Amino acid sequence: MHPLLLWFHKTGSPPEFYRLSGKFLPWLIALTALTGLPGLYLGLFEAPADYLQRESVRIMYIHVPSAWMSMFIFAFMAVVGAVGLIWRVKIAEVLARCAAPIGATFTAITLITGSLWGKPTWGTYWVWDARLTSELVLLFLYFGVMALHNAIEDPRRAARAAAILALVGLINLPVIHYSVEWWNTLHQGQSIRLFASDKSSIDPSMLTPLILMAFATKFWFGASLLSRARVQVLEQESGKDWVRQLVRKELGTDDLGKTP
Amino acid sequence: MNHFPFILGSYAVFVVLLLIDALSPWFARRTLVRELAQRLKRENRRAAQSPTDPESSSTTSP
Repeated sequence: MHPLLLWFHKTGSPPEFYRLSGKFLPWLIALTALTGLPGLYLGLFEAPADYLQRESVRIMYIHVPSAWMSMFIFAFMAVVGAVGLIWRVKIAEVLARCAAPIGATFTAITLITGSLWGKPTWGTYWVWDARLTSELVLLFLYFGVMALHNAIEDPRRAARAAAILALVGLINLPVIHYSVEWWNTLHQGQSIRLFASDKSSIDPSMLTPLILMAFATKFWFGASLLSRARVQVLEQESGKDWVRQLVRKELGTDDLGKTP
Repeated sequence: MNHFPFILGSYAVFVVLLLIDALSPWFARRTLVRELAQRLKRENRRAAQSPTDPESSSTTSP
């Protein structure tokens, strides 16, 4: 077997995943704090107010990274869902399942903070604008995926159904992204172009906290995903010896009414 | 218009929702480990009561 494929299968085994994820988790939490805390500080206290939006621009430092995450997580969920669907990799199914609530959280943050930004800027909390509506559809897609996972008792069948919904839902991502170009919307267009920085219309003093928060939310997602996946793996493997040993080790054999 | 309540509200929503996201797997794990420990205790008790009974040493969940 190809060494890469072998590594993939080895890492994909639940006990190995549990062990490895336990090593990565503290690093991801530390990276979240290292990027998120300065990002929040710069965004709230150091970045200048916008000439048009004034102080409400500070909402952007959480709204924009959350919006990016809402789409990134959906794409991630569809990709790992497809891996689970095609190659029946159990860990891929677990990751797809665990990504959904995190994505829904970021989508909810996007919608709520966007609404709170809209009131002082546009004069309204909500308009049925293409960008806002497509983002709301994304939230419903996340709810759909989560509902499928909870409604179907067999986790493998649930994962397959949810993966299909996630793959179909992918069509919404370009709609969200290009909605400001395809339709005449109230929502502003792109201010940041990652691959053509000279075309970005955002000042570096505002870009720095935004980039820091973008990294922080990515690391947050990694940490949250791993901690959720570890619980899911424990639950699915609860009858296996390695989980029993882990529980014994964690609580001590005396607590279980048995001496070694 | 005073923007402060909107900024405060946004950051509060951000922190609260992410806190819920962080705490929910922690609570789920605690509950699961407790359940598994109780299951192991029950099995150990059963094994101690009837060590020859093959049913008592089963590893499947009830």
